[in-house]
Amino acid sequence: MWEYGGYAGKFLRLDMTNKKASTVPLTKEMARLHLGGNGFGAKILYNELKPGIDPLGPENKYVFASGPIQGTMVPTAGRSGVFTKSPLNGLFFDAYGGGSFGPEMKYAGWDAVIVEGQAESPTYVTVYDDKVEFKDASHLWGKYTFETQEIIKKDLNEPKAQIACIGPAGEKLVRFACTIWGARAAGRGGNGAVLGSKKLKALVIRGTNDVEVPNVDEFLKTVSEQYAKILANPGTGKALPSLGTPGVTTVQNQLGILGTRNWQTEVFEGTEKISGTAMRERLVVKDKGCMACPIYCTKLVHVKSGPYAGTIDEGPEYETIFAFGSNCGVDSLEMIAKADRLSDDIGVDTISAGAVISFAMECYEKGILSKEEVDGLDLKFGNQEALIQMMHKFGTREGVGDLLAEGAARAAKKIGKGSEKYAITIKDIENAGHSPRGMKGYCLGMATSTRGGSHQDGRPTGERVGKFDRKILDGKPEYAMGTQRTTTLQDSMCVCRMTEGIYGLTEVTNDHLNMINVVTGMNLKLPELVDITDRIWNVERSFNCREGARREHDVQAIRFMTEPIPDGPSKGMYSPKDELEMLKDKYYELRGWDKTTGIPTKDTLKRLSLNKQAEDLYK
Amino acid sequence: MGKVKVKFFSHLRYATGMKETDMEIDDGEMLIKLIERLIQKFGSNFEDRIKDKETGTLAPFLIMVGQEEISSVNGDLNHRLSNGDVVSLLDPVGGG
Repeated sequence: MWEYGGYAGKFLRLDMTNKKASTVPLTKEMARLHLGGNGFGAKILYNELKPGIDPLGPENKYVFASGPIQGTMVPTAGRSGVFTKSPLNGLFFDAYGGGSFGPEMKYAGWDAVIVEGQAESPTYVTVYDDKVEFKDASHLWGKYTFETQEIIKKDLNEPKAQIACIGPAGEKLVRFACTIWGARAAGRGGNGAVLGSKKLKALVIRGTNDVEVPNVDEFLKTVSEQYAKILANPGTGKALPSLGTPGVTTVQNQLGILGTRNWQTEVFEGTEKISGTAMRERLVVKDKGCMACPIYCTKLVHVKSGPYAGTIDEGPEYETIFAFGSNCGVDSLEMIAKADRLSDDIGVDTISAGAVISFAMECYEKGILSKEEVDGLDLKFGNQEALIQMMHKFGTREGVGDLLAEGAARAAKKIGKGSEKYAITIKDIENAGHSPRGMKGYCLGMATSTRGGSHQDGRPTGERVGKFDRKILDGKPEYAMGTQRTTTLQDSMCVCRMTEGIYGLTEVTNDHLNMINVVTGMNLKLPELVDITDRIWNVERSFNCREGARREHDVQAIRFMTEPIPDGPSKGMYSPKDELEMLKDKYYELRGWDKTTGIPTKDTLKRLSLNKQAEDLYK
Repeated sequence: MGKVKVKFFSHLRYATGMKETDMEIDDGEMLIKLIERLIQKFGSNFEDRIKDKETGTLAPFLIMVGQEEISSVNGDLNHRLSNGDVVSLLDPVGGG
């Protein structure tokens, strides 16, 4: 065992320019102060990237990282993350996926893989334990992600290899391209374009090492307790196994917070046709789980009839149903499954892809984009065939696909004519499928989060399930900070969001602590673990502040701050800017950030042992 | 005596096999009593979807009586129902 349990004890560095691999030892200090996953990604990128670099240039880096629990039996430990400077907004971005890639990386003896430089020609890299090879990927360039994985497995005769790869969208530097492993996506922030810029088509990993823990009996006892909790909980024990995340669709609509037609309203008349129950009845053929997970929330679907017959897809998840369904005015689960499969094949984030199309649909319906400007498509809301054709254009950047491949915020700047207000983005990241207008705490959490339009930092769950009143302002700065602490911790452990109702929605709990301690043997105390989450969050914040992000960037999409929800159960709700500013004052105070600038104070940074950040931000 | 319409969402619909059902209520019947009677009517597969099996307590989820939202964990489950009320049971799912 390394100094602590769970860790492999080293990082792998891949220099794509010179085709060289090297080893970076993991230090005890790094593990104890930054934990893993999110913590490692933020620390590495802060230390190694110069501010102002081009996200798609050779100076950017891309980090695959796991946490201490990956490769163990801790529930949902199949997850792992990727970290880079986002080509959508030039800020720190982290994205995560389930499956088995992270554990395999650990079995190969690596806690993280740092990809840097740029290859001259398409390349893929194989990592078998300590043996690393750079290989020509010319024959894979242009291939879809699933085909890429199949070819590599066959060529190498390695059916059990885990392969992270990009599709044509990553190669074409589509700014919301993603990374795919198996059929799982590290979806958001445009990380696939960064791999494309490095001409890294795929990273293939196979490992034979064990992951060791200090006391196996104690470990098994703790893990068994967690499995029992998951199975006893109605959400993880029943709801998610039955319907997966699509079960949420009807609930969102019933509350009047289901983004519809580019968020022009939040009630969708076609909800029943795209519900989790409808998907179960019509399309689901099998339930599937990620490694070390008893929840089995993934639903394999097969479209058996109609224009999309023959589509086989892992998913779609709720976010995808929202993105291609209600928010594009589409009530066909079959088309949503087709668009989801296409997203994975060409390698784009379903949320951003759907959001960019819905943005273009609104521009088209309002006469801002003409039919000629959208390549002759009748790009009205609800036009399924036009939507599918747009998806293909992302993979080729042909015609209007080239404009929209830049993301909604950049496209709006190019289009002009007032289209900026129809780009529903936060920090230039397209908004996910939860309503900032209809949930006050989530709204603040998103606005102040590193990732902007992602739903993975400000969290909707506590308000959607009624544990916190979604309509009131009291306590929402605390809610926002609490949810961000738990998401930072989950992402540094690399456990799945599905467990948030078990381990803690808005606070760091003894469940988190016990799992970390039983795996690592660090014997952390709860206040130390809270400090770890705050340290990681402040590294991310410092990264963004170093890039020029300030208080004025912690805002919502224009529509959410200026247009009340027009109808439905949440009619009248919105987030006026003065209300948001008032909440931000209190939030910054809780965080120890300067209220004028939004930069962490020097005292806050030093308290968290972030001396380099203090020096950089207060030169 | 009176009658309320109970609407099910998400996996509660999947468990009960129906989108909605009518339930007779006593005058001024409390919401919590209606929930207990729904558990009796639909059995353990329903109960396990709204109560934590380990703790025996209601999981957090929203109940709507008309447009009023009532939390299962810190709302007024003693809310008195009226004839003609529409009660919507949402679901206790995290993640997503």
